[in-house]
Amino acid sequence: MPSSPPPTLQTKVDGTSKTRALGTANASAGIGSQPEGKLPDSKLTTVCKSKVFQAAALVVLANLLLVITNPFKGVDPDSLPTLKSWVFWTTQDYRQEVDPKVVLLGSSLLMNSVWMQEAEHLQKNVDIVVNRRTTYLESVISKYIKSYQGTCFNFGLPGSMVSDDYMIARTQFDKGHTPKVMVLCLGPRDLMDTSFSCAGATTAFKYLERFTDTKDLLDIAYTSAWPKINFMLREYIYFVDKKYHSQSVLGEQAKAALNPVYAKAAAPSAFNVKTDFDKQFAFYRSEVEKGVFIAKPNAQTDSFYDNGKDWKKRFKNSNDEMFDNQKIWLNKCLSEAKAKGIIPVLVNMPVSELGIKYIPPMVYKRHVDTLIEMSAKYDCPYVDTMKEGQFDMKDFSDYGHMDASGGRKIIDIIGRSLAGDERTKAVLTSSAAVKAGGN
Amino acid sequence: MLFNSAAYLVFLPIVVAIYWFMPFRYRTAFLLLASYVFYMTWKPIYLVLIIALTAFNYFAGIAIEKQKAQRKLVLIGSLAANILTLAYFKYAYFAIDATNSVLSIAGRKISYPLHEIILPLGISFFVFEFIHYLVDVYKGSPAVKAPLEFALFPSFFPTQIAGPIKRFQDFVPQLHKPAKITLKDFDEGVELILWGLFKKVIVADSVAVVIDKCMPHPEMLSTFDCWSLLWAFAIQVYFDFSGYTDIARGSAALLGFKVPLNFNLPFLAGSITEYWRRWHISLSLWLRDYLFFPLGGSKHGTLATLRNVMITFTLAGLWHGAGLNYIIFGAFHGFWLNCNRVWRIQVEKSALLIKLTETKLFHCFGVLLTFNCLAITLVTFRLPSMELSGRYFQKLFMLAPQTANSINPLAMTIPSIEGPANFALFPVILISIVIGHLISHQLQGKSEPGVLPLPKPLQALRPAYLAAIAILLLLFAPDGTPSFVYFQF
Repeated sequence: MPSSPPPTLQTKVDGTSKTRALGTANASAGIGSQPEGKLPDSKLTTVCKSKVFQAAALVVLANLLLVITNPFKGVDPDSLPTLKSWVFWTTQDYRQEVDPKVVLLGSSLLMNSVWMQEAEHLQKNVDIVVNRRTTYLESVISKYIKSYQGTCFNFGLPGSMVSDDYMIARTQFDKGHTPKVMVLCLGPRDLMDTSFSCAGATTAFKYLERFTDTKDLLDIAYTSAWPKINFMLREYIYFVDKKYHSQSVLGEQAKAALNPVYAKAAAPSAFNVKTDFDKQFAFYRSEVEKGVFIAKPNAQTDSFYDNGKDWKKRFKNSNDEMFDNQKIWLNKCLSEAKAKGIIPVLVNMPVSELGIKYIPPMVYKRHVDTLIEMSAKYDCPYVDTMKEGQFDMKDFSDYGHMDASGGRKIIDIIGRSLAGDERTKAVLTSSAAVKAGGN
Repeated sequence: MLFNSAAYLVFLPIVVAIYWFMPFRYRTAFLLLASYVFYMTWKPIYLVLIIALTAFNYFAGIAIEKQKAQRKLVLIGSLAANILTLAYFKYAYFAIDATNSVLSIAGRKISYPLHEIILPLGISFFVFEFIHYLVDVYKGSPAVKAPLEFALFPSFFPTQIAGPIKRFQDFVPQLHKPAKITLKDFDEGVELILWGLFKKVIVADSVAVVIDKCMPHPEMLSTFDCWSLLWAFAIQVYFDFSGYTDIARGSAALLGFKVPLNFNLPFLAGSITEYWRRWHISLSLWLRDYLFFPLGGSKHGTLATLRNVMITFTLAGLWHGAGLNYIIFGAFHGFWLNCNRVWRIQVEKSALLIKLTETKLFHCFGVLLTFNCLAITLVTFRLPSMELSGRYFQKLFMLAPQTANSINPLAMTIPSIEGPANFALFPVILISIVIGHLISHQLQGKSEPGVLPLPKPLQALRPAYLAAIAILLLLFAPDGTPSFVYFQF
């Protein structure tokens, strides 16, 4: 290596690019000698000679052609590659349900407690990643409505905001999967979390928007610059919009073409067996795996996780702008439910006595007032668990999340309220009666 | 700010547009400002380090030039300051950790406290540029007097993070030419950037998905798997680093600058010596000029030359990172280079061997041998511990119980597809690269200039080729922004 002089070396091995490779002597090669600051010749003909502009024109042309023909129109959104996130697994599970009677929507405040209580109720392990049915709520409703039949589904997602709940209602509540009742369980955070950038930026939103055209949501979903730019790129560049579609189709075609070669070349891979490391790794990449979150019965402990720092951060200011934005989503969510013949129920989620100390009183009042206002506007039931339930610190595992005992209390309140309200009772009873009659 | 990030794709056009609209006399200052902004997007506090080192070396250069009697002392002092700065950030943690291990083995109960030191991005590269500057000024090159011009030399954003390692005699004069961008420069710059992104996003990152998953688990691999992964990793590193360099050169071209070529079809090298003339050329030349030659080069007989090569490359290994694995990686290269040197000495003594080595068949054999020798060195380069490398070597050379082949991209389940999803094409990519390399080699000097060598009759296809690259990038760009392999150095 080091014994040969560099110029000779490069001239020898790189005939074409020697002028570019060497500095001083050729530094000005290709650089014009026109006066400083003068713009390059802007004549259209000169620009047209540029290979880059010609290439750009070809890309635009191809884009236009694809927009018109839309070859990936028929691709099933479910077949597209995606992160195996909470929303992915929950959606997969939900698609197995046929006309569930009640769907619970909310954040992890709802998801965790209902899931843990489910393990208590069934007296067996429950994998939250793939088992979202809440039979405990079914049993509570049955206690009050004897003829009740049907399933209840826990669609709570970690970090979910009302905008995500709207997207679930818009994309998942379709033919064969439309519940009779949608219970929207909202804590103060779900409308104004200060650690949240914009509606279109959540994992849930990004996943769900593949099932619908979100053009009408542009102004409220992408309130910060980058997500808005990304949306615009998707909107106008077919290759970006249909990136996953084409990856899915091309990937399958490549596999089909190569399979005869591979099938002979190698046995099924040992790497298909996922190790604990894989699962853990997946968790850190916003993904979850089956078996990572298992609720066990009789596992109630008195341990308390101090998430005060995170809790305070989420309520560090009133975040009026976000609140106003999420209020629009709440309106949309309730309208969507009404339009699909679903009865929405608004639930104010409990907050621990420790947690409420760090929520500015004005923020909490605003939250409760909004729920009351919305329930009146959309003529839907409103349940304030803070008034109806007797929650104490033993029901909480941290500042906001409840454990199984809290889950039991919240489900008891919801079940009782659904049975006690004439509107919801009617749809839950009549559907059962119809079913019974049909039998 | 990574070259393959959306932020850079916004940053670069803005800088280029302002640069060309700006009066010539402000351009250097503007580029310096842009380069500092670029650096600050990573860790703003380390801007202080680059500015402090720049100021120190600026005055050191002038002092070396002006001093008559004690210029050697000034040189040694300023070189020591640069090397100690690099050593602190890069090797202090490793040194303390190693000392503690030795003390522990020796039964001593004392241990020195360990504090994690975050390595400033690009420090290995800009410290090498400072060393080159000081030594060359000492040897008689005029020092750079304009402070802004000197400051821009190490911080020039296209080459700031991972080179190519520039020479100030090439770079600074380019600041004096009142240039205007030509269509040719523009086309070449954009073409280089597109091609670099293609190498990184489509090839390197796709291959990395398989490498990252499989290579750290030698117990699950067959000997064939181990070799396949090493070949693939060689491809990954090449496409990752040369992709970065292409984007750097393209970005520089859009600003009217030429920076050194760093790669020249290295996997077609017929010997490890030739390989180092084609791979990371700017580092290879730096090592030669500022380490190998000062050690005595090849002027003092065969044994001294072999020793100097060994020292040079072991230190080059250490330059890559603080760890025994990197030292062994460098030593491996030194060993192969020395083997090649001894072989060449033997060849020169025999007319028969000279004839044999001149045949095409022997050259092909040389290419294959070189590639595999290189691949072997990459075991310690890629795997984090010597224990893991040891187990990998056992599988590689059939010294451990065999398992069935596992590398089947079609049957493999990658836990996440957050990265590129085209790993099914992994073997196709490898074969295409070999064919592409061979075609490029054949066309060198016979085609129109451009990143992709195309015969003259096919020049009309160049826009289509660029459009295809752009479309592939749009289709297969990952959601995240995987880092470049050489950014960690």
